[in-house]
Amino acid sequence: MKIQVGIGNKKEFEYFLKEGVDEFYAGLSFFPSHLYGGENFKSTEELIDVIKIAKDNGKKFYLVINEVSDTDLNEVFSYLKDLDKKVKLDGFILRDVQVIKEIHKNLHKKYLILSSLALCFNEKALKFYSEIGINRICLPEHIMPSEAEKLIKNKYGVDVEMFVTALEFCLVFNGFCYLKQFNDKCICRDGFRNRVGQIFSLPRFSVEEHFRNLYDFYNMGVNIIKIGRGPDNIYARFVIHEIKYLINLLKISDKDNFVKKASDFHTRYRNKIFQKLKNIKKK
Amino acid sequence: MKKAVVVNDVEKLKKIVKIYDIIGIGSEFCHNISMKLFDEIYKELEKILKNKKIIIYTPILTDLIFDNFVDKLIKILYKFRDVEVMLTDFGLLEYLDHKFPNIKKGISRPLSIDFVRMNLKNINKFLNEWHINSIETNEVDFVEKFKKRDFKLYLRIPLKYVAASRFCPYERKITYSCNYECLSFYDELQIKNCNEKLILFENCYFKKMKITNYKKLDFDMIIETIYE
Repeated sequence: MKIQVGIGNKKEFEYFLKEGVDEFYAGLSFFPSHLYGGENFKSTEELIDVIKIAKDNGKKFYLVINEVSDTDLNEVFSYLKDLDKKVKLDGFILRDVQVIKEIHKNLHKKYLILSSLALCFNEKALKFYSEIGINRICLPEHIMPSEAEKLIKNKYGVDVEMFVTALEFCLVFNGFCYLKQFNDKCICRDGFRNRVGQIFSLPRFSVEEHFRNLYDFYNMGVNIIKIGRGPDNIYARFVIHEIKYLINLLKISDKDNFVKKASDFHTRYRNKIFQKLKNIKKK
Repeated sequence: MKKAVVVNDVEKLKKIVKIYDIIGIGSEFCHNISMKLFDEIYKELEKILKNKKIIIYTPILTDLIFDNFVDKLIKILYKFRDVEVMLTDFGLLEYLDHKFPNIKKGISRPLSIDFVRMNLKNINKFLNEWHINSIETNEVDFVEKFKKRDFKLYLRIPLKYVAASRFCPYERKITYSCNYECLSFYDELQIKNCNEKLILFENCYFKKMKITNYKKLDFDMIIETIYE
C-alpha cells in the first residue's frame, strides 16, 4: 500500500519524507483549489526546493490545480510550463474538464489524477475521463464499496486511490459546496434548527461505516491511501501514525476485527490529538 | 424568453400542466425521484404531457443503477417528440452521445458550476464536440460573458444551489429505495449565528434567490422549480 500525502510547506514535507511517504502533492496559495482549511505553498521558490528534494529521493510529486477560472487560464498555463522547465513535474491532480484537456494537450506525458472533488461515480464516467487523459482517480467521498467495484476493477487501466474518509470527510460534495458563503466557516457539521424548531444535522457515515468501506475498497484493489492537506503541521504529524496503524491492520485483520480495532483506535486517538493540539496552542 | 416549470409531485403537476408549454421532471440530485417519475409517466402522465416539451433532469448515477436508469430513460425518449435531457453525469453524457446523438442534451447544476467558469471558447468547443444544447445555472453573474454563445443558457429559479449530498436527509443514508418523503416537502434550516436560512429540498441545500428582474437578463429560458 502506497501513501500519498498533501503538504503545505517545506517543514511538513521534510517530516513526511522521514516517515517514508511514497508520493506528495501540493496546492499553490495563489491558484484557487476549492478546498477549505488546507494549507498551500505560498512561494514558488519553496515549492521548487521541495520538488527537487522529492525527486532526489525517488518520490513522486503532483501539483493540485483543482479550479481555474477563465480569467486565470493563460496565466496558470504559462506558470505551469515555466515551472515544468525548472523541475520536471510528475503530474497533476485536477478536477475540471477544461483544465484536464488543456494540461493533457500542453504538458505532455504528465500523470493526471482526477480529484475526489470531481463527480466520477460510474464506469462510463471513468471512460470519459480516461479518454481526456486521466491516469488515476481518487474515489469520491460519497461512494460505497458496492457502487465502486467497476471503478476499482476498471478495464481502462486507470489507477485508483482513496482518502481515509474516517479522517477526512465532507458531508456534501466538497468540490461543489458554497456553505461557506454564510459566515465564512465550514458549517456542514453544525446543527440547524428546522421550521418546527427541531435540530437537523446533515446525514453521514458512522465511524464504523467509514472503516467498513475502507476495508472493502482495500480488498477490492485500491492500493494508494491519500492524506489530505491539513490545516497545520501538527495535525498532519498525528494523522500519519493512524494511517500506518490502519495499513498494518488491513494486512492482518478480517473485516469485523479491522472495523472494531480501527474505530476504537480512531476514537481514542482523536481525543488525544485534540487534547494535545489544545495544549500546544495554549503554550 | 421561454418559461418552464419543474414539478415532481404528480398531483401538483396535473394542476399546473395547462399553464406551461414546457414541463421539467426528475431530479439532478436524487436517482430515486427520477426513477419514480419515469414510472409515473406511463401510469398517469403520458397523456397530459403528450404535446409538451419535456425537460428531464438526471442525477449522478452509479453502476448499480446505470443500466436500469438508462432503460427507463430511453423508453421516455422514444415516447415524446420534444425532449431535452439535463445531465450531471459525464457517464450518461458519454452514453447518450454515442447511442442518441440527436437527443437534445443540457448541462445542469452542480456540473454547470464548472462550465460557467470556463473560458467561452472552451465551452463552445466542448459543447459542440458533445452535441450539447444548453447550460442551466442560477449564477446570474456569469450571463454577461456568454453574450456570444453557441448554446442556450437557462436560468433556474427561485432556489440557488448551495450544496448537495448523496445522503438522503430523510432516510439518513445513501439509498436506492425510499418513501419519497421529500416529494411534497421542503424545510427551512436556520444557520447558527446568521440571519439566513438554507432551504432543504430533495437531497440538496439551497438559498432563496434575491433577484426578481429575471426577464431583463439574457437567458433563453427561465425554469422555475415548484417546491412549496
